[in-house]
Amino acid sequence: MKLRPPISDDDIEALLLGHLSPGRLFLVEVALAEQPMLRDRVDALWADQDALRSIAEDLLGEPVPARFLALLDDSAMPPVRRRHGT
Amino acid sequence: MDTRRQALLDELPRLRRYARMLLNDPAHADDLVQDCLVRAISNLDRWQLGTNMRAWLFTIMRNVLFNDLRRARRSPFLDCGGDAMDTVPVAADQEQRMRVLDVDKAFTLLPSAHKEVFLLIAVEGLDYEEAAQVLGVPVGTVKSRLSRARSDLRATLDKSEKPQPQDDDFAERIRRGA
Repeated sequence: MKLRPPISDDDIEALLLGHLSPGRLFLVEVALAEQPMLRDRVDALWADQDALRSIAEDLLGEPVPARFLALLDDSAMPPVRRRHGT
Repeated sequence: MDTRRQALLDELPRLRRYARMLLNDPAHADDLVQDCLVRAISNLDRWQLGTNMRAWLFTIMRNVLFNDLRRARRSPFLDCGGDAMDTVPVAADQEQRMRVLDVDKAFTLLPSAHKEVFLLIAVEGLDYEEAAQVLGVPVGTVKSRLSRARSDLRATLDKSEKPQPQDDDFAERIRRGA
């Protein structure tokens, strides 16, 4: 007998993005506790997203090249286009 | 510096990161950022204060990429050597570090349309509607692409994480001296 509606792909996606309402989050967590295969899958997807975000976080720490800042700084001057390698 | 320019400046690191993760060539990525910036600055008065500057910039970047593609008649997503993410954070845990490297590599194998949604939503924090607007596709398409991107990334990683049966057979044959 099913006591709860099954969780959907949208629920999983919302879980990964942190968009579930507290009530729905509880239902999803119960479902995951009851379904080890689904839980493993979600854990793996979560770890992938974490890895991707850590790569992204690292890139964000890089200093912005001066040529970009110069484009923004000098409002009076028309932007100078410089192509890489020329 | 006025408010608009400041808002643009604030988004600059993210814009650059998006280009770096989308393209596998850092030099090409920075050229793209530069072209996008030039266009954004000249259209800055069209950006409405209070709306999402990030989404606006991603839209411009996408248009620039699309024009490049048509002009050059080549895919801007082709690998040109170099790794978009060769600076991988040094994780305290070696296993975690290997994981990140694996994900980094697997991500580069995704089709560009899937990279875009993955980055816009899971990394840059746009919602479905904003991403749909940036990409010029319906929300449903954004959702299905994101789901597909996650599954494909996982499938690639599953394949590399599991031992290959053929290798086992090979090892067994070696042991038997066949």
